[in-house]
Amino acid sequence: MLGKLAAGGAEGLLLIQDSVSCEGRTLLKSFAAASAQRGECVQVLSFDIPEEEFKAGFSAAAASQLLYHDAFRDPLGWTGQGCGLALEEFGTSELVARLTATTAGPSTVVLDSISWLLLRLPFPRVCQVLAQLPKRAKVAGLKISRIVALLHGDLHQTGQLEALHTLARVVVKVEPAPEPVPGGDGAARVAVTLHRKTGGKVMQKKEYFTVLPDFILKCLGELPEGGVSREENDQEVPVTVDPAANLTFNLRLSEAERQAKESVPLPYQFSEEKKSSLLQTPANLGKIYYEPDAADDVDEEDPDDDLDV
Amino acid sequence: MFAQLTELLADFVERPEQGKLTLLVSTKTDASFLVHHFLSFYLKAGCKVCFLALLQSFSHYSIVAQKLGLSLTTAKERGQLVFLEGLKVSHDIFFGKQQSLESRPFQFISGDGSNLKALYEFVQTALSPAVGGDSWKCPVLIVDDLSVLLSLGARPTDVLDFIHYCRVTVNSLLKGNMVVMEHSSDDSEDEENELLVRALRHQSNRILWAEGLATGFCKDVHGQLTIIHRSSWEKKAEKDLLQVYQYKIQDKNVTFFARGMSAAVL
Repeated sequence: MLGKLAAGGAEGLLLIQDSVSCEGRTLLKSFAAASAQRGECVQVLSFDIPEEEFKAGFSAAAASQLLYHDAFRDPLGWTGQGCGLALEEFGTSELVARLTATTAGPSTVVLDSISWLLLRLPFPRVCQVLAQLPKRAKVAGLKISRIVALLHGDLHQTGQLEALHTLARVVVKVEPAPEPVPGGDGAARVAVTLHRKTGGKVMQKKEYFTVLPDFILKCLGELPEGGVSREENDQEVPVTVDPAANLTFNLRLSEAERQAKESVPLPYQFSEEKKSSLLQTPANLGKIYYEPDAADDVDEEDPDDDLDV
Repeated sequence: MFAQLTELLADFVERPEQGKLTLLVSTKTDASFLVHHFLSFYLKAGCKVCFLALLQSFSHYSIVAQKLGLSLTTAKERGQLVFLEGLKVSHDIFFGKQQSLESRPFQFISGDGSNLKALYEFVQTALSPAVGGDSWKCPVLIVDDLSVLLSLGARPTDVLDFIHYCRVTVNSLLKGNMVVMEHSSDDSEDEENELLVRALRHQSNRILWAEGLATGFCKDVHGQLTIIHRSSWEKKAEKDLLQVYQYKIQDKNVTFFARGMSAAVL
């Protein structure tokens, strides 16, 4: 499914969500390279990394299709160089003006990364721009077929992430592979893809992928079902094992033992015999005769006087 | 400079790597030995160093550097080292000393809503090559440590903006290096600090993560160091490379060994 999406199957907003443990920039670049290969114009708005770092690794043909809007060098106007894209310019009309000025053909807009913006701009503003940009660009005569945005998932609250997910047509979550994959030479990662199709159908898939030189995406097949719910399986295992199987002592009662156990009267249970035996005064009562010693000094008021307390 | 650590990082004094951001993180331990290592490493490599010392005084760093066979005073006099003593400057601002030129980088403390632009400008002037051209190798910015800025009242986005601009100038334009120290802990409730650490981890090329031992304090093993080389296209590595060592800090050196291979155990 990921291969189809990269090959042009995705329209609208496409989010690539990564985390510290697994970066998603190479996947972002492979989407950009695939678009460039189809002859589309790729407009890159880059906040996170410098131009040369972003362009590193692209083939010459693909690099020539990249239109770079540098928002890395001076986004806040601190150095006063005034080149590239500034943070205040991240509004729908400003962006449309900027994007239409460079090309008129069908474009893919690449945002690297949207997290940078979300940390600095109000959340609704970013969402508005993402939603309105394709429509407004269409009015201005530019067809934006998709917006591919990189999102660092661990920098934002879950509420914001969910709001962005509902806004997006495709959400690809990148995760490290749980185990080495055959054919993946140890570099495979897992992509959990959620695709809302135009017909309203929603598809979700979990598959292995790797990125080859020149940012060619290679899918290594889907994760087996068992692989998806491995954690749940692990939890089920102890349930089927009988914990009382190999004990060195006996936990069970035979029928005779059970009867013997049940016939024992418990201390708090009062039977007639027990009651009578307790209430009956025995015939020959034991008596204590006490003759005070001559040396005894009995204090009537404090009989415990001789105790060392 | 600890020779063993240099070896583990495959960094060479003769030609240090360029354009890299190294993040030092400490969890439940004191990892200042890493800062001392990088300070002496880059000074010995002949780089121009701007050191934002927010945690300790100059004399502290100077004494440690002396133990490692390096004089910070001389380096300062030669113009190789630009030292910003955060403790002194912030004290001056808090306790009503005259606003001097020296305290300008810390303007944001005075609560006039300004950001860390002044601090960035300080770094920029410190590391920009002199007009006549000086003989120092690539510029290096060292910050010890970043969470102090948060404690002084800067917002996390302000700090991230500062780091962003430092990356633009030091890493990208001047092809120099940055070394940033931070604290982190999984169960910490300081959300701003954790956000800062996570955002920095996304940006850094190399992470050195020092942790105290999970089993508690030990006389012969002082902690565990995880070196994470972030995946990069140039190195054809799609996965982060991880190396884990344990270390023991001695008087003038730090020894590293594989986990569970302390000399006291063997």
